Amino acid sequence: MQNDEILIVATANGDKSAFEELVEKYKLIVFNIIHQYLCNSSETEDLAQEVFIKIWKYASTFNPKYKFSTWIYRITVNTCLNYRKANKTSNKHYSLDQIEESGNNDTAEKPSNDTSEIKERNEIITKALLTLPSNQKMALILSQFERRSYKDIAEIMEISVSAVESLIFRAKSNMKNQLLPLKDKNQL
Amino acid sequence: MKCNKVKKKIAAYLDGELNPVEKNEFLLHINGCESCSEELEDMEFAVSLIKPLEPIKPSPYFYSKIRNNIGTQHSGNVFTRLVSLNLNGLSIALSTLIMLLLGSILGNFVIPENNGYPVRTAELKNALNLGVFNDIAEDSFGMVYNDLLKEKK
Repeated sequence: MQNDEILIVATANGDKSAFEELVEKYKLIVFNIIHQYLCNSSETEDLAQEVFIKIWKYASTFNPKYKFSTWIYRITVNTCLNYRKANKTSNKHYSLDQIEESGNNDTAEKPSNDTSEIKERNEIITKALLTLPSNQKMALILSQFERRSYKDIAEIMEISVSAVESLIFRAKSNMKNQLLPLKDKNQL
Repeated sequence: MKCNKVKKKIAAYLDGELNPVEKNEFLLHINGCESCSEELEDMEFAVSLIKPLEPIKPSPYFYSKIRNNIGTQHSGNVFTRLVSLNLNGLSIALSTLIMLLLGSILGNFVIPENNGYPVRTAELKNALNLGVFNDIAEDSFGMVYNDLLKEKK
């Protein structure tokens, strides 16, 4: 039995130190999937806590036939998707401050008078990501940022591999449609 | 492979998800089709711009908040949770039943009898002077008074 499987069995028997070990091991992964999905750091921690509370509560339902990491990803993904369903006005979470802190930090490579153009570009890119439908965005995050295979994503999201392929194709097409007009205007 | 099918495979190709046969067919078509080649180039460009947000770390109190929340919750399966919830009520009911049963058995079989009364009952009767509730004796003042009352009627 893998170490994670031993820890989750111990957790199911009420062992809090085993549970704490699982939290330490997976908290950054869970945290950053939620962070990429919500683009709102103030709610990320609350949702991450919810994920681990669910793991504690449903530890005994873990099926060792599957990898533990797949199970924890699945709980994280479902928590995010359910949260978005419950809070349908997703644009409320759109924050320009978050865009400024985004990963496209290449201002050091350009002269300072281009900084505002880079900021605008970053805003457009993140806005394009934010406006994607929930399932497409999640599939894209798992594929692009978490580098999971389509097969893994299919297990995590409990859909077929061809459904994953379709989701990612549509997500990337949507992104392309939003970003290409800017290329034509030489803004990128 | 036709253009419609090839365009739908572009994302999977960029992610390295095509099997060798599909990949060969895909590249064969791309090399000979300007429209699909352009589509591939556009998508490659868009994907190159998709970057993750700067990662963030949880607060130092992250685990303690979780621990406070799970403090009153049980881990474990549905059966064990149900059992633990009902155990207190069931145990009280069961204990009461056992005590009643034991008491009944002791009362019926353990105490010996004496002249139709259980020994304990006779002792209690004497100790508490329960003889006052017996029938009135023939030669007692009470009986004389009773007779006088009957004659008057």
